[in-house]
Amino acid sequence: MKKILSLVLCIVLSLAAVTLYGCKKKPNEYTKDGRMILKIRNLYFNEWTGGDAYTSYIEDKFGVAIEPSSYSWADWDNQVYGPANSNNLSDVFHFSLDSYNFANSYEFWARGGSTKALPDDLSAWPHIADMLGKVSNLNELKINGKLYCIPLIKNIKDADDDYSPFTYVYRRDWAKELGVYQEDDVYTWNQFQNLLSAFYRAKSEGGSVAALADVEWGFPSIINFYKTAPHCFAMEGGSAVCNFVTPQFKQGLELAKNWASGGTNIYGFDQYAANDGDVAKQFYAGRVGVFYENLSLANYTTLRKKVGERKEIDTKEKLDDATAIMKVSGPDGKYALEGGENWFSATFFSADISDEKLNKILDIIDWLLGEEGTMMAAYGIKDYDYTVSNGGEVTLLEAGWERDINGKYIEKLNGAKYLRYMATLGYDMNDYDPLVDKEALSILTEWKEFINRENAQGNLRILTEDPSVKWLSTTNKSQYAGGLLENGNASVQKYVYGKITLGEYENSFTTQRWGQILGEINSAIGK
Amino acid sequence: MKAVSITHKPRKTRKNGLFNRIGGLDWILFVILGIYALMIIYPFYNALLISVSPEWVYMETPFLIVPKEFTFDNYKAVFQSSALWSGFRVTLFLLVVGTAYQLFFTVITGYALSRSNWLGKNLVMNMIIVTMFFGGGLIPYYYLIKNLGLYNEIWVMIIPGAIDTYNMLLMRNYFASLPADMEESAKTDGANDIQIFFGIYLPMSLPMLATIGLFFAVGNWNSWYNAMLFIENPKYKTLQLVLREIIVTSSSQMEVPRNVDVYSEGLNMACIFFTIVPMMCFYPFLQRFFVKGLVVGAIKG
Repeated sequence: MKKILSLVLCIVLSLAAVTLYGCKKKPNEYTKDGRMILKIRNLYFNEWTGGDAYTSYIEDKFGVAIEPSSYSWADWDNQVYGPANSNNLSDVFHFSLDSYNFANSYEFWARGGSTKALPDDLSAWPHIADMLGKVSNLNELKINGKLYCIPLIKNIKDADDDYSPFTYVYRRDWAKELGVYQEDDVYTWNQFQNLLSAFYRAKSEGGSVAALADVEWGFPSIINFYKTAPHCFAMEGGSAVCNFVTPQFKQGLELAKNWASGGTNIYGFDQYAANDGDVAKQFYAGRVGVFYENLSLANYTTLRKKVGERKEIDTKEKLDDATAIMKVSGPDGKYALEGGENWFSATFFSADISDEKLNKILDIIDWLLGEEGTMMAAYGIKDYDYTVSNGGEVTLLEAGWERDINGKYIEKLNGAKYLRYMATLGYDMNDYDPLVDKEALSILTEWKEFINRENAQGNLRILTEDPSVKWLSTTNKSQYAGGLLENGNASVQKYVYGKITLGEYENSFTTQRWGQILGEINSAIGK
Repeated sequence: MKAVSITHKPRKTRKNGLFNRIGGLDWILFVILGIYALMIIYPFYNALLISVSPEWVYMETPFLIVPKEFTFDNYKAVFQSSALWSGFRVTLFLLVVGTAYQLFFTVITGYALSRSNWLGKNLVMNMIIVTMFFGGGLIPYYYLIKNLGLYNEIWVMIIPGAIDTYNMLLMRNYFASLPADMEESAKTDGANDIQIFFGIYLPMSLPMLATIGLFFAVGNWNSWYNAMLFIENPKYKTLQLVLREIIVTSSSQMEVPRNVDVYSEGLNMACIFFTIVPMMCFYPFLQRFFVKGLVVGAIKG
């Protein structure tokens, strides 16, 4: 019996010890050897946990100990809002800031004292200052003249692009086979429709192939050629109106309905029931002729890789033909792209960090944006990973860069590259990053140059929302605009697929909430 | 000889009787239940086939009946994934330590609340039961975890769940259903409460312990929510959280160029099998306790 009692006591004591262990004191600000601890949390750190030679180099250079952790794409909101609402934020954190959550996140945190503003004088960090000077709509982000985040600019070198790369990728091989191919992949509105009809007639037998399909959150893409604003609010005569019921929007809507459920069956894939990623998989499988997709370099690289895995796509020429980018002008003869910011998401600083810590973080970011940091992020450590000739030519060294059996460089965890995501998505490095698919990049660059040329000639319609409306914070707009957009898109899909009548569709945009929000906007802009 | 004929006859009768008893309605039921069983089994079967198929096969035929081509690349990738192995270690830790911890506190609380001779029992009971119906909400919970110093600690997935009210009630009801005479007899023989609990009641409660132990084990194996909210350190992420991140990331559109391959459906399915197979192997051995335990715990309210 004594043994049993002893055993019980041991268990109880162990459990008490376990419980008490959890109740630790506040974490230290410095390591034992005097390094400042920096806790940095970022969505893009999911493959990197620190501890590599490049992180060590930066830690030694700046006398810091970096503790990185990542967010998960699915739980980003919860993982930020929870700590933000309980004053438990990491020193540096990353959030998907946009005009829809601006009031409830950025503004709320800044006014509530959860986040720390950047210093007014950024002269000590010239690269950061230079980069912020290129950020679109920066003034809209300032509260009482202070900036509370660093927006992650997409491409520091080429920051003027203010449109999203949502466009059409298509089976040029099918077009050639059916005799509807147009030189340089440039299609007028009629040629585009002819091509879709040809695809439908030749490939859609039995319903297994769709002539046209859109990425789930971009459906129906063809409305872009008609509508005048990208999301909820359009401007008419200086006043804000509901975009979904403007005559232009409804014209595109009727065409989409005709193509989806009105008998032409151009949209052969049931977009109404599609889950995220379904349409892309259909394109990879050769079941979609024209695919409207967010052609960021990452997505286009993936798309080419997946299509290239098909047995019949066994040469570069065939791959290029199966993943060509289409240039379609609308009924007005103009190309149409959705406008957007030149940045995606933002880096924030907890209000709890000291000025000294903020300065240290800014020192690191500024260095990473400079030449030395950029080289390190792209290549690694000089004379170990790469050398530079007198003429400035970079040669990668075998010691630092291993290759796979196909001769492609193998990615290594480079802390500099990940830490640079505190300020930029790093598209400026695409040209020389050894890991970037240069063929995909070249095709995208060619498309971008074409679009820029057309833009310069006035042949591009960029769908943008008036910044004064987009970033406006009012009681109802701040709280409900995201829901309006979601419901509006749902109504569009329902109407296009014949689930509701036009009257029901229109009624869904005459609710009290729409009235309140439009009233607030028009009142704020003096209408 | 008589014995042989006796055993022979019923066998024949039973066999004939079995077929005689199967009527047209039974066959309809067989078909319906068979279809139902297929509906449950096929997704697992299809997932297994996808996990051993190359991507082009899945692209062409998402719903497979027979494998067209085998590849174990997905499983190779899974077994080479440090994140999954790290998650596996954390989950194994939760499974062993967490289950023992929860079992211990739930059982001793259930036992104490099944005894009728102490002051304040009903108050304690009600205080525990109220947590079944009302919670403080996420933000107060966040504050609590933060102020206890459990944020970003592996214990955050163990300590807050020490007592599961529902299982504690099952345990309490079971203890209460055992004859009180045994306790009185043991006390007459000079045993104290701890001796009675460990020497008499606990050995008699093995079916219930196995049942709620299985509940806790399954719960810990599937645990991801607390890790998602409170864990930043990647080395403390649970297996299910890692799996969730892999699946979600593979279907998301990250803006940043990613130089590693995006996970395919095959990889997702291989991950799913990696996480469910251990539990599927473990479950049948405890199933007989599980069924029995559910019944015995429900006798007394």
